[in-house]
Amino acid sequence: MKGFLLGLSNGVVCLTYCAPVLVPYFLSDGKNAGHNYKELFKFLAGRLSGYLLFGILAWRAGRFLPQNTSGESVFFGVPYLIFAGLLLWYGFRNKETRLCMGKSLWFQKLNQWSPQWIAFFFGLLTGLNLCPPLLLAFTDVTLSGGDLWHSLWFFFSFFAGTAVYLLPLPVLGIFNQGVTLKTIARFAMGVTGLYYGFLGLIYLIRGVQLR
Amino acid sequence: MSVLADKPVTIRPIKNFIKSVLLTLPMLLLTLVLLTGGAGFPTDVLGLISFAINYLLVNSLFFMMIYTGRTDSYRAVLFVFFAVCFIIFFIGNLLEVRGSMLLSRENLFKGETPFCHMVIPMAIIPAVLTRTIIFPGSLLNGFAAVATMLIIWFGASLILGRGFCSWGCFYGGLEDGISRLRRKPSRLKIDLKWRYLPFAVLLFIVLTSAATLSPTYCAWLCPFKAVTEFEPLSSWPALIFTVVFFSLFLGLVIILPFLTRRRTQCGLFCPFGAFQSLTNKICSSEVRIDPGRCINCGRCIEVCPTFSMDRDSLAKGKTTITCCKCGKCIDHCPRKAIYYHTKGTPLHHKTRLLFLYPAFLFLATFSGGIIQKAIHRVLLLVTTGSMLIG
Ligand code: SF4
Ligand code: SF4
Repeated sequence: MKGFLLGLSNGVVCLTYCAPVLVPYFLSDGKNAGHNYKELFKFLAGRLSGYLLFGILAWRAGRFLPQNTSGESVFFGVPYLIFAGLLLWYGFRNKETRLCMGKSLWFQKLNQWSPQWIAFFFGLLTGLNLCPPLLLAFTDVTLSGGDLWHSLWFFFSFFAGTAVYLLPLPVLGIFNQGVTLKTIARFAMGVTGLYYGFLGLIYLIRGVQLR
Repeated sequence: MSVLADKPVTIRPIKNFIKSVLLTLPMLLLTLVLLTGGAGFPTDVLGLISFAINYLLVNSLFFMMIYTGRTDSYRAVLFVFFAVCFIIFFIGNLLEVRGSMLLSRENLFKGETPFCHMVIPMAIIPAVLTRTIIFPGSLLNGFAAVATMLIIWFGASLILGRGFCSWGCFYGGLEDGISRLRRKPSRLKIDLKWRYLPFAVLLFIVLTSAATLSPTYCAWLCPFKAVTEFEPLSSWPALIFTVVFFSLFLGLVIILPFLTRRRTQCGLFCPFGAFQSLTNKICSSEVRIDPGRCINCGRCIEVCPTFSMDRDSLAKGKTTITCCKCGKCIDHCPRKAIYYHTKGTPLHHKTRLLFLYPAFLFLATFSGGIIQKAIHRVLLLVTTGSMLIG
């Protein structure tokens, strides 16, 4: 219950952290709200996986987070970089936003590839994002020193509390008219990708420096 | 083609010297009041000289606009001069207040920077979404100063819309100036899809500013950090930020404008420009094309610095939403088929004055104080060897 309440009270912050990915994602596909809800559930499934991973870490590593070690920086830096790559690819793969037409077959195949579960990976990688509410949850679990199930349950209920705030977002589907908004949203995904790329790079550099 | 297009078109720019003087008189009076701030003339000699140079420059340019009927060429002189003066003024101020151009992240997040209009979308939209005001600007002079700035911006937006970007922005003049250095553009073609990028950057900064409660654009992306203030290079992240700022500045404000003769930062990147474009929908002025006169030569599309004219918009007799009302297309159209238009009035070249007076007055007063102070600093440098006041 405590995890749920913590999630509920901090959910707005989670919303603002997920919005830079979810808003352009929903607008870029040009699909209706119903389709967007399906995508949201994939996203949430990914996010839940990320949170449960945190649950395991919080139980296993105890004081892992506050120590600011090299391994920890790499742990967060690498997912950020993967996330950046995924966002950049997704943002710039469509013909409206493609950076170059890329004549090679490999490039064309990559652009045509449209994985059904991309929203899951977006959710997973956003779930591994070190946002303040997650840090709060993490600290709570590590300080209470409970067992694995307690930790997983805490993160699950925390996830449920925060997820409530994401439910209205698919309604953005009603704005999906015309190519303009889709193009803007795809570019925005690319820009968000660059931002995560910077963050990842900064984490990795810090990791190398700490070593 | 309409009947009108078959007739020889004779537009009479106001060539009559006396008429132009008479039309300049209100500007002479208004700028006198606004540039002195009602507080009388500066008492020191250098201050008085700076005031006189500025006053004469501003009013001669306005006179020439009326006399020749051309807008953009004279607007650009003041606009570019404003941008250069802003940098001199700003750097001088930083050196006086902080002793260097360096700015730490701490300074930025504590809001110890001057208020800049670029932050308006980052302040207004997240304020609505999260009820938290992010002000990456100094509030040391009190909320009243920031509120005044916002009111001025709002008023200017109602009259000028995105015209703010050609008649008020203290950065736009840099690339406007550089884009005029070459006679002809290179063959480099920019795909028009990039016109959407500023809106994407706007979406990104609004969402991330709301998420991180920090001015993401100022912290990560502002190209003008390169010529105003930047972080000391004491860490790797600071080095990365500096590389980003300088690359954006070099690419978008220097190299691409020089090669393409376009304002690429304004047209392809600036989120404030994108935000300001939205105000074009509600403001009273616009740029319109008379399809009856237009011969589809495409000259306006070629010269538009912000990519705001294309075949589709031309066919509809309009510019795109991003038009910043610089007047370049109006000056270049061989058929004089493009107009400054006030909504609700008939298409006529005389209505240009309805736009020109407020727009020019805004530029003259907004730039006035800064130009005067910059001239003052340069005079000080020449006469005393230091541009610092006091
Ligand atoms: S420059 Fe004038 S005549 Fe030529 S296409 Fe533009 S509006 Fe038409
Ligand atoms: S359409 Fe004309 S007035 Fe508008 S930005 Fe382009 S050149 Fe300037």
